[in-house]
Amino acid sequence: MRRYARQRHRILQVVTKLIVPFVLLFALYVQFHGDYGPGGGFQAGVIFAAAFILHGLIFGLKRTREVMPPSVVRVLMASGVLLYAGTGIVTMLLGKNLLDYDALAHDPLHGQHWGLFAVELGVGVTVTGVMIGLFYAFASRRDGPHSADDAGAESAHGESAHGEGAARRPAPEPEGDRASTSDRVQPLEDRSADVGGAGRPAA
Amino acid sequence: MEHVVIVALLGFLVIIAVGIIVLRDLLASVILLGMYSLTAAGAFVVMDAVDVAFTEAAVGAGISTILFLGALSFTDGRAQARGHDSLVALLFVAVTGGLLIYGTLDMPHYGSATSPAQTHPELAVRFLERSAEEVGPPNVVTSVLASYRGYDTLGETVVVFAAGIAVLSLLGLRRRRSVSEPPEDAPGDRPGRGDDEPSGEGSPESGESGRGAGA
Repeated sequence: MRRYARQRHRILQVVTKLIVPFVLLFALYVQFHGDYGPGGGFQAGVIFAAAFILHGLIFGLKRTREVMPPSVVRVLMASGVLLYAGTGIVTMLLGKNLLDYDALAHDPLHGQHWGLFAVELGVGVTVTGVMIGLFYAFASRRDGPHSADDAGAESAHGESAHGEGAARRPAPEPEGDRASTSDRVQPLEDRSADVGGAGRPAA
Repeated sequence: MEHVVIVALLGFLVIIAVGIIVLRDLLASVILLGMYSLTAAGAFVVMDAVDVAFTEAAVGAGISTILFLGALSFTDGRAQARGHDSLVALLFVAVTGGLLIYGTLDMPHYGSATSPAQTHPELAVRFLERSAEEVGPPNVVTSVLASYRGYDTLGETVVVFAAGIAVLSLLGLRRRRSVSEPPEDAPGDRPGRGDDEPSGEGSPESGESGRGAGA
């Protein structure tokens, strides 16, 4: 079963590996090019988060959590707001109004540039954190009818792609399957277990 | 020509909205919601609101669909048929919708060059004429969003943050106080899991709670 699942998802995994770096790069482009074209912190944050969500859907939440731990996500959520508000505080300390970026440099235009950069980055960081956090929160619920950590993967693959939800598969026996899955000699196998939701007993 | 495209897109929006209401299959509804957002984004592009379209496509068509799919995995995917359709509700909705449409009659026409937003000296005129020397970026939207209205955007960011906190406290931290822990978190199960899965089952809270239970 697992072997079959792994082979079935391999194309998705390879394509995801190819796509994710470009998605991240595009998010950075949208973030830092927002002054000159359409874009900005909100869009960039969502796109940045989308890369991690895609990774989570294909490789399973466990792998994504190793890349982006939930503690980091919570720090991101708060630090973006802090960066934004802190920029405002700094402008006040420099003798101007809240969020009056003219104070940030000798030349008002340069100050505005720095201010825009900082607050857009703050928005992007917070939005990234919140979006990934929302995805983690929804996808890691345990008390649903499906096995917990791969809820996103199940919904994406099981229902839209293959029309066969993981919950409708026979649930593997917990201990034996866990033992076989847990030695991480072959990463792909482990991932496939995540994707198929097979490495986890149904809650 | 542009009007034809916009009307066609808005017509699609109506059709998709009706489809969302009529369909009982929740998965199809979620897909249609994504289509709705993408069509709306297309309409925004035609209306030259590229930044809005960008956000709509990324948030509405992208993330929302994923979150809905995640939520859908907790249900059986079918909306329950309601027992009755109240005539009072229909009347209420019709009256409210009629009032809203009546309210739009006072609004300036689409693309009107004489609308207050276009002609007010402190709004579009000032932003378009002065933003380059006052703020700098060629994208006036960014100037307005982050500088002229930086205070609003700070509020928006705080709202996003608060929403994330709310969801995390409802869903993400839930397992810390959950009574009916699944058997994997039983103490006897800990050693094996600890060795094999360094990342733990879930978020750090769950790991801590599991460790707490084990100790």
